Amino acid sequence: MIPKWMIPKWMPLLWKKNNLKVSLTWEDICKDTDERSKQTNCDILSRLSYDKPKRLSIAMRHLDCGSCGACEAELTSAFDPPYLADRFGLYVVATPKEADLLGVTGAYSNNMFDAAQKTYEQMPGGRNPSPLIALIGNCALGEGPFKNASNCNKKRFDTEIWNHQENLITIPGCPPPPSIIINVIIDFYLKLKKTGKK
Amino acid sequence: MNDMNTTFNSEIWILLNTIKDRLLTFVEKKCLEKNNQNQDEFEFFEMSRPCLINEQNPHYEIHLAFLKFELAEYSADYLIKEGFRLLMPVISDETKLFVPQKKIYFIFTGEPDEQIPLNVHFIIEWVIISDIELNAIHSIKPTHLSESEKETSIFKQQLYPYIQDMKRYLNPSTKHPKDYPPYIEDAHEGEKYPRYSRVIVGPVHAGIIPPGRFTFDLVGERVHLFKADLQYTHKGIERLCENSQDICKDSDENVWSKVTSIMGSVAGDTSAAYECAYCRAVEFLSQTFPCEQDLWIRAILLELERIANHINDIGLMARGVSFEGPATVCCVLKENIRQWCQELTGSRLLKDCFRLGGIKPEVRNIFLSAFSSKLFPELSTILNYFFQAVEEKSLFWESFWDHSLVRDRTSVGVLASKWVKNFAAPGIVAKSVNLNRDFRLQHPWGPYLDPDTQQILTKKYDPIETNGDVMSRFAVRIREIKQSKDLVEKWQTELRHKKYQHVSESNVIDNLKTLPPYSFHVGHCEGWRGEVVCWVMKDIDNTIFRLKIRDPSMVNWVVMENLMNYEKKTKEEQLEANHLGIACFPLINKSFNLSYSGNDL
Repeated sequence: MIPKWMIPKWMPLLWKKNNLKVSLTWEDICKDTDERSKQTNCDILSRLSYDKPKRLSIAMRHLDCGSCGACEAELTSAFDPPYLADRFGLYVVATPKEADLLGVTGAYSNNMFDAAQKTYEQMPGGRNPSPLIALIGNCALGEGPFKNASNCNKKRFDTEIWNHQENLITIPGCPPPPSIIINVIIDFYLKLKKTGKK
Repeated sequence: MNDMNTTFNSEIWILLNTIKDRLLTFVEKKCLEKNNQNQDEFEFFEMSRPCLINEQNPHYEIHLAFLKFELAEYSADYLIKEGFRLLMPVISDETKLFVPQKKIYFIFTGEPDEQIPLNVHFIIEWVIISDIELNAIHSIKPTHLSESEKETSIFKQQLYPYIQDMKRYLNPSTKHPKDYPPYIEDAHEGEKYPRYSRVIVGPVHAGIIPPGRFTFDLVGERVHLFKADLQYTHKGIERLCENSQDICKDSDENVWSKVTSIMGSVAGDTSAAYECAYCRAVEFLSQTFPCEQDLWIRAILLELERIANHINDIGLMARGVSFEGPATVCCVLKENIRQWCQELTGSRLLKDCFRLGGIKPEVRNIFLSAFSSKLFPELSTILNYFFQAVEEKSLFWESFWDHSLVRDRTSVGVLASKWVKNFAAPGIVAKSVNLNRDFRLQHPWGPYLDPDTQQILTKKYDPIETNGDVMSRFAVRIREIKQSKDLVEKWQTELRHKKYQHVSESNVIDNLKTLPPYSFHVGHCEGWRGEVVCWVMKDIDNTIFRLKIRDPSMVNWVVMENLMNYEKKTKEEQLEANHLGIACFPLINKSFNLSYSGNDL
């Protein structure tokens, strides 16, 4: 449960007045989980409740390889209210040296190659065979509208920068909604925890 | 044209021709002055023709072609003096055609004025005979106004933001970006220490931001020189659209409709405006226009996009002055509107809603059925909450809007109106210095033609701040949300009574086939950053020969660069901008909120 003092005073006013879709009281969410599961937006909230914290801590670094800006907009709102990915232990860090996970968006523009390589090389290694990568959005998965664009080269990034295909989190969507982004990443880590691989 | 439509407005046509005649006499006079009365130098071709005007989509254009850059420059200077501004230049390599040439089309548009009618374009075509002549374009350098205001013409200043893009079109193999070493400039003569210390940020930033490298040259804390080095997200969108017949070989999809979905991803947060601009350009080409119902739905989608993005920006700016309360409210409201958009159209960011000749049928069906449910009242309750917070100074806002700290922090980044004029800056940037550059007013179509709508758009909403600082750009956004809300509420009642005879996509594409090859048209609409412009030229085999996109950010990046530069300002401006340090940059950047992908293409 959220302690009452954590809820801003204006929040209940907002829900009451407008009968909004996103209600942040956990009782409400648990009540109509079935209804909400149809709209994927609030899935994450119903799956991970506050009563049983999973004790995750995932530091993510964002790397834009030439996206259109839609994935960034959705990724930003994943870390903003009402989603607040920080609550589930997923947060953004300012340098790749502190990151556990590299969140990649975009269509792999050639102009970003050097910068992407430098970023990847600075990711901490050693604990694992290689750092984890989350490919966010259709463009990063090698599909999407810029699949055949002249200045985009996914192959070059695949072979020369992340030359491993095991530790990949793939999040499809154009753009993927914030709930899906959080859901997939958290699920992946929960699975890792279960199998005890990490 | 013999079969002239009855709706063709001859008054406007006559008025335009008088402007054209005055222009030609001006250019001839200038030409004779320079060339010692040599009559041969003055050469031009009249290309304009009175076009068929659709009632809902009026459009008038005058088209003149010159063989010399000088003449094109004179005429451009004249147009700028008359109150026009450069909308965009289109460079087109037509060397493979029967008459091998390179051409640049300079498109001008009018400011709202008593003398200049609505929906008017001037197209000045410069036919480049030899490549050496291109030096006239290549030699245009970043000019700072105080230095050389008198020396360089305003036209060249307005052209400067597009130079990089043109060079890239002519030499697509040039590597970008160049490598700027992080150096400290050598000490000048007689000085012991170097002048500047250089701070380079990027291209990968500490946060969730698209890539771009910013170079700050500092003296103490003050930023003396600032350079935004972009092009990192360059994907080659224009080339992709021009070669889209190769992609469509395997599938049955038509080239023209395939490009619509690409246009939705030029700038992810402006997808509705880009799709609308492209669709309008192609519809003008084929002279097949959507029915009234579809036009109304299009306009509602554009306004929804504007509302969502502006609320997001207001939240970001509140966070920029470290007031987390308003930021949180705006985030929740934005999320509500995005979810609401998803219920309305199936896409949170309004992607893939448009098609040639109207709206996608599945989107239209969901949209119209939304009337029976409570969807529309829901939007107004969300927005009413927002306005209540702004106007009545209730809840959090009391501590925000009039807070002395907020006023102090947001009074940085003052933009002089002469920069806006000289660079022809569009959109929010122009509105923040009280220049009403709004394509909903200057190039109205469909629902915007209605006098009541025009009244809403010209109405003065609170708060009015026009001194060009961060706070005034903030105020423009609040004003625009109010306008858009009024417009959406007005149109949702009108929509029920609108005629619908849906035009199919194949109808538009079939009509394109009868067109002569290499005919072109410009299409545009007002996105939330400013006007989004798209230029389409047809190829000989009914595909796209040249497609040019222009985002408002393209110009406004240059305006922002000039805003951050201390050294190149006049002395009076320097006094004002004395405290302009690196710490001010994030807030100024947020107040502009420019697109990276729209600029880099």
